[in-house]
Amino acid sequence: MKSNIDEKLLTLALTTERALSKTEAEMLSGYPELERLRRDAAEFAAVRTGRPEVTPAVSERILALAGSQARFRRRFRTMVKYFPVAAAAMLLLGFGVFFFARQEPPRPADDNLLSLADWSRLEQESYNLSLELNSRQFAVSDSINSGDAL
Amino acid sequence: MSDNILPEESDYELIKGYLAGDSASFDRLYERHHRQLYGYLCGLSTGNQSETDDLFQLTWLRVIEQLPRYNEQGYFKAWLFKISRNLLIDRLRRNRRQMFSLELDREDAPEIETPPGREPWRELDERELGDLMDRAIKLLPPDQREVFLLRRENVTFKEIAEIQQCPLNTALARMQYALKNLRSQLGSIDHGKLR
Repeated sequence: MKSNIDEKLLTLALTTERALSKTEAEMLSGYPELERLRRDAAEFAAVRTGRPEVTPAVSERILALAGSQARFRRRFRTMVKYFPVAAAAMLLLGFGVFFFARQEPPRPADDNLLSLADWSRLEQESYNLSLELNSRQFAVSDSINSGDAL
Repeated sequence: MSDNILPEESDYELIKGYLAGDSASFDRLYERHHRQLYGYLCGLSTGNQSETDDLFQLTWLRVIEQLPRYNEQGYFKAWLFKISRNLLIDRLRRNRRQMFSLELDREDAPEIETPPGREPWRELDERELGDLMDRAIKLLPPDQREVFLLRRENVTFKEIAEIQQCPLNTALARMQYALKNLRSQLGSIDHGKLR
């Protein structure tokens, strides 16, 4: 029974020794008593009832928070990177709106106005008809008013 | 062995990647260190698993918060374990528990004499030995227990000294005392029970 456990412990101790950092190995090589200390530590460290595992929900929460922080940093960096271009574009747009809004519409030239003598025949007839229509409307409304009075 | 294996990124490179907005860098950093930290907290904390989970989560939240201020001086692992240790001490102070002594420099564990030439712990099966080992570890003084647990998680002595903020020789001495006490405790086994 003893030999099985010893063999297992020795194998695990050797594995642990290989995992030590080079710096520590160099440091310990000058101290024989510490070399024994390292072997003892490896031997004891190999005996454990099983590695405890992190609850998956806890890991998920931590990684989710880190992910949201990373996304925020990415967006902030993008915003900072393109801010000068966006600011220049907004400035140009504002200047353009301001500049064109101040301009007055062009005044019509005097020679564009038509005198009565220049009206075309159709336009003259259209004017005459509308004048007659208005006068008849007045006559109708007058008769209605006089009828009410009676 | 394939020649196409890329060299592993350092912790600092992963941190820089994360601060540049790459969440996968943080995932790799977390994968690299989370088991060791959890094992350390399980061994050091004397509360139940939910309390260990809470401390573990709080440690990583603090790490995420303070990563922009992290500089390359020192090891990330030591920095991580230091944060965890400080949170544990704060919690114990708040809860006013006495099981974790705050006088971390005292070396006053009573030594039990080992019967000469006897190592009965080697005669137990692996599971019994593991159970006894866990109980014996909890009987160690806090500073020795901490050093042993950190060493069990393959933290180097240099990093342990940085975490405990003590000289390297002090960390080595604590480990030596821890092993001596463990060997004594396991040596005094009677029918599979610690005396």
